This record gives sequence, structure tokens and C-alpha cells, in this order.
Amino acid sequence: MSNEVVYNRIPMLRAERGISRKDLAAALGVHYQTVGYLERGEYSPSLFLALKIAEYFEVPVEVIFSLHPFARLGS
Amino acid sequence: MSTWEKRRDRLESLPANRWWATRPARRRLVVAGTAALVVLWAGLVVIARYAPSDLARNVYLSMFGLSLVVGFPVVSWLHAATRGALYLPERFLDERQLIERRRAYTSAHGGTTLVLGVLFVLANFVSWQDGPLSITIPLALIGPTALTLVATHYAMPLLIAGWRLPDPPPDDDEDE
Repeated sequence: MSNEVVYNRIPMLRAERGISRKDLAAALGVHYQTVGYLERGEYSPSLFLALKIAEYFEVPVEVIFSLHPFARLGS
Repeated sequence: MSTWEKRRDRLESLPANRWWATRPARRRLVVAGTAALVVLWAGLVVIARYAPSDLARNVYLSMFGLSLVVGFPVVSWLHAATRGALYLPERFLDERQLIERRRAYTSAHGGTTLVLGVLFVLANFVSWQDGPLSITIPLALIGPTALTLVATHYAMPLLIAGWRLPDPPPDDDEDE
């Protein structure tokens, strides 16, 4: 099993837009726990799911996912 | 709504989802399930050693009953705790659940291969011993052996998935 980590901003985007985990999961067609595992970085999505998430939030995929930790806002 | 959709929805609303939500709780369930399997295997030893006799029948049936009483709830609760990852058809699972399911089956395949390998070695060990060319094996051993193998084959992926699954993320209403 790989130890590759994919960092993401799903919790931030979800909070900013007031979307519950269950609503996001329903829109993506995944189990709501999968969204939780994604947010905690315990599951890295397939390219297909990553693109679906980017499409849902209407932002480029690299805005949501990164191989490096995101810089803190204001830093 | 199809039967499987109803089953999926029922699985999501079971109170067992919360009872066994944490990893330590789920692992205790796995230990109980493993113990039920071990009791089934131990029952085979009783039959091989003491059958045909009332003692063998009574002891085996008691062990079988104990295994059922423990095993059935454990299997049901583990299906609930894993959210049907090994119970529902693949079309009802998302990509993460499918990965979980395939990992569990892969590991369980290794486990059952090991069990069958050990049986193969034991069978050969017995047949290579000096002594009579034939031994008597109780007829009563055949059915329980098949049953035990089926139970092991069925339960092992579920036990592995239950053991491995991390703590689930909190529900929305718990963290917001």
C-alpha cells in the first residue's frame, strides 16, 4: 500500500458554500463516509472522482488537490 | 425501489452502525467472530478423536450451537459496520468501498490458501506415516468439515475488512 498523500481543500470549500457532507456525497454519487475519508486525507480519489469534485465546485482540480500542503491563507 | 436498494437503506439505518463504529469496538467483534470459527474447527477435532459416540455428537452439537449463536450476530453487525462493503452488489458501492472490498477478498484469499495448504500438509503427513495403509475416518466428519470450510471462506473477508477499517469520519450533525 502506498504512503502517497494528496492534500485537499474539500472541507474549506464545503464550509464556504454551506454544503453538508451528505449533500456533496449525493451530488458525487459516493457514500457520505467517503467524503469524510477524503477530507481527512485517508483516501485519495481516483482521477475521475477528483475531476467530478472540481466540476461540482466549479474550480480547476489543482485548486482542490495538491501533492504538497496548501499554504495557509494570509501567509 | 429494488430489494437491494431497500437492503442498502436498511443497512444504513441500523443502530449497529453506531454500536460498532469505532475501530476498537469493531475489532472486539472480529475477535468474537474469529473465536466462533475456532470453535467450529475445534469441533472437527472432537469428531475426529471421539466419533462415533454420544460424547462426540453432544460436544460437537454444543460447539456448533455456540458458534452459531456468536457467529450470526457478529456477521450481521460486521456487515452493518462495514456499511455493506462485502454484502451489497458492486453497483451499490463507490470506488473507496470497492477498493476495501477487493483488498479484503485478496487478503482472505491468502488466508484460505494458507488454511488449505496446512490441511494439505497434514493430510500428506498422515498418509506418509508408517503403519496400516488405510485409516478409519468417521463419516460424521465429512459434513462438518465442508461446513467449517464454507464458514471460513465466507467469514474471512468480512473479519479482515472489519479489522482494517479505520474510524469513520463523524456525521455532519456530530461535527457541525
